[in-house]
Amino acid sequence: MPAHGRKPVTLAWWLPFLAAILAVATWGCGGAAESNILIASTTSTYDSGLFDVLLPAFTADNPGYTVRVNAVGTGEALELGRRCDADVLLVHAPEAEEQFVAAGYGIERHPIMYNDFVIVGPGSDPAGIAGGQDAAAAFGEIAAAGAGFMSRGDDSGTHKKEQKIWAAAGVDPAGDWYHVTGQGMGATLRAAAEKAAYTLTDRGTFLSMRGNLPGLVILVEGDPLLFNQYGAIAVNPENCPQVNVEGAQAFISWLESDAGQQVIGDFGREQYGRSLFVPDAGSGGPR
Amino acid sequence: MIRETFSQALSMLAGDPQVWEIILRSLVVSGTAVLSAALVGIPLGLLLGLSRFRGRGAVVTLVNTGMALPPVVVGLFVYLLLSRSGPLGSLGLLYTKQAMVAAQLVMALPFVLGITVTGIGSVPRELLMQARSLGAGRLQVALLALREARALVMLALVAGMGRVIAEVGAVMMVGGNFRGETQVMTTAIMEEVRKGNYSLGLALGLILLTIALAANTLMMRLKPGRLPV
Amino acid sequence: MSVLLEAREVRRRYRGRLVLDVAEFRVARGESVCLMGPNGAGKSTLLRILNLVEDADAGEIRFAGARVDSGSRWARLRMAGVFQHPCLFRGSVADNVAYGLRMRRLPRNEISRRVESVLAAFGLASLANRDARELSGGQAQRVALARAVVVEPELLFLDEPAESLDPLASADFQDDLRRVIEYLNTAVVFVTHSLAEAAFADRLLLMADGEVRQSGPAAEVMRSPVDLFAARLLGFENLLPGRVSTLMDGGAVVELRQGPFRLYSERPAAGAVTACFRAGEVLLRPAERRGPHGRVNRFPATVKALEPTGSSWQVTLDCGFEIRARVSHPESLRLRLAPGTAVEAHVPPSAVHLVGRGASAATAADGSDVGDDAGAEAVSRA
Repeated sequence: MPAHGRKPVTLAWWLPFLAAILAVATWGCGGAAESNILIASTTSTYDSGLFDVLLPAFTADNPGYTVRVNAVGTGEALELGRRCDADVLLVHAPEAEEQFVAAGYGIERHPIMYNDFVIVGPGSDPAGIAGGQDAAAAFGEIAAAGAGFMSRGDDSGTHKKEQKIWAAAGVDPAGDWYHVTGQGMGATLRAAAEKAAYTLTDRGTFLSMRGNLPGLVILVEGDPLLFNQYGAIAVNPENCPQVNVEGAQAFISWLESDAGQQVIGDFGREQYGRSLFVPDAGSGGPR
Repeated sequence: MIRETFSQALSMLAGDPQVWEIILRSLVVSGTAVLSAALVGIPLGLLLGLSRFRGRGAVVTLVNTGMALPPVVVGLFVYLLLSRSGPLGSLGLLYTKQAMVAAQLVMALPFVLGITVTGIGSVPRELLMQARSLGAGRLQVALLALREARALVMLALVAGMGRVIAEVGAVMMVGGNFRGETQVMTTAIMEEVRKGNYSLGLALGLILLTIALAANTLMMRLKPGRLPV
Repeated sequence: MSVLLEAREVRRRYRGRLVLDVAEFRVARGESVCLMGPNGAGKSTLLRILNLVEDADAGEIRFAGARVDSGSRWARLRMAGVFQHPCLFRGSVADNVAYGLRMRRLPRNEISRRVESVLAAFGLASLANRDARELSGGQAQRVALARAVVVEPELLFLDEPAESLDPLASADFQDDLRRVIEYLNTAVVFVTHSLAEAAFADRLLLMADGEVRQSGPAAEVMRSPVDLFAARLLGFENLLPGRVSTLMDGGAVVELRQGPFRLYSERPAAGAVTACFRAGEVLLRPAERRGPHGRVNRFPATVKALEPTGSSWQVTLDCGFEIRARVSHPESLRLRLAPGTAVEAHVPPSAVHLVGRGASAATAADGSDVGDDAGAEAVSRA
């Protein structure tokens, strides 16, 4: 090995990294003049793809805004609102939302839309619930048959809804037929498909994943108990002076407007042949 | 399934500029974090490794414990600092790349610092004494120690990079996974998996793995003597 | 000669124990000083403190008249050291040799010129581009010596540099060392266990338990140890306790404790003494050619044991008391040495050195022989 190959201390070696540091330090510092709206929403809404059509439509009608969506769990979304790290919340937990507003963290709760849950299961339907419209009764039959059921068990909105249905059915779900995945909707649906088990899912996620879920079909739908109301809340500037309350109000107003409601109602029609979310601004929702 | 995943990964690389953007962002964010950790950690590691003072053992133990810090906890800590209602909220750094760099810096620092201290400690004291005997001053002794321990110091950087680029909890929390802004490979993978797009997640995972392989190969091939010490 | 380095009342503690306590130490310009002593005597510690790579807990060190410590880089830049292990740095042989020159910020071309010339002088030119960590022990130690010499230090420290080498490499290294000491105008302080290396020095210091026990011109110290410890360290194999009975003109007659024997020495002494002489200075001749009985320091002896020491034989003789002699191989053949052979052993009076047995001898002046003997034995085994 030649000795002249061992040159110590070359500044050139560091240059690319210094450049990189400078690049990152300045990157993203440009858009400060625009009005940024920060939305905290649930992952299931985000993952349905709704925001992919909603946001471009909003900014087309309201130039000068940039909107960013932070997809988190329902509980985390509310906590972010409490800590002022969101301008708007779009979540589906009516009781918690009302508490949030009552405690002064949010200005007002605006019902925007609802989607629905469906009970899915294997085509063979061992519990014989297919075609029913009573979710609680169907759950009761699943428990009575001891047929496999996948629960998310993650304290999500979907899980809370599931617990509500078990309560309505008067069943305390436990036993070797009741499986808890502790994971998101996608993973839980996959587990249900693998194990030929029943589960509760929002329609949007099920439809978007249907191709990857062999044998799983919708068995029960349409029960008002399965409806899932979404609300939008502007974070209260009295609690958080830093929030973009003007932007938040503009976004919520647009969601409630005919234009916004139209976009929501059309979402999913092309791909799945039906709407995934039913706009219901001003109605108060079916609860 | 595997073949499909591979071809999907390849077509994503070929056709989707967004994927390249995400990869580049991952590299820049984690690279900056590790480099900043190196700029802070290596001098500090030298200081800790070469000096003897009361309480040094406790400091080293603390640093080594820091290596076991769960990323989500680091994320939570940085989030609470940068939150609009937090002490540094007025900087408006939450949900920016800078915040992600900060969180990854906190994660990488114990690695860089801890392994550097171990490396410097493994350089025989007699060797450093020999350097002094030949006229080396404090700085020259430190540089010599770094030169002698550079294999471990490089390992520290590689290990740090490996940790932060593969980490998801903290960057998700402080970066927000905003598409086109703060989305990096791991948060993108997380999102795809959450949506049930396992194959897309796997494809991104394969890309991540390929990058790690390339980086490690590059590190291994760096000949001794070509390092800036 | 002007004083280059001077140390006074230098003390160093380690875990509460005093490991170094040197009242005074001086090196003049161009002088070579050798430190000898058993392991743990504090030689290396003293060397590192004098080399300013470590600090003493107390005391004063002056270099070229100015007070210095480990922070005095200017003084360290005028010194260089070679430690027990070569301690080569990562890089090529040339890189290693250039290190001290780079520390002195010499111009690049001056560095390469000096490196080239020192490598040539040490016969290392062909190894210049070799990875320093791939060298043999002897080569590595030679590189370490070249690396220290190339900076042309005013003061060079060598800490048992040949200790870890095999005999061949050690012999080569001794040659290098001798050349450095004899031809360079450098003051050298070196530590060694080898009497041959110590003989190169102008001055010799014997150390034990962190203290200097004896110092003086090397030749003088080697001839006249001040106590049993020094005698053992300097390779006096025969240590015979006794008592001076007659003080002769310029010498002494020692009544050996073992049996009715007398040993004459050319050195004056009194009281309880130990007679010390080296095995190599005992002369053997055939028993039948024995001169008239009773002549000075000639003893009829029987060979008790014969042990090879490599180049020569060590012979254990029974003269009524036991002594050891060393004879060359041809000599052993000529004398037909074997266990049981009768010979005559001659200890020249000039070879017999007497060391007093200090306070213990004074108190035991009336012949508490048992205690004395145990004391002498303990020392000789140490």
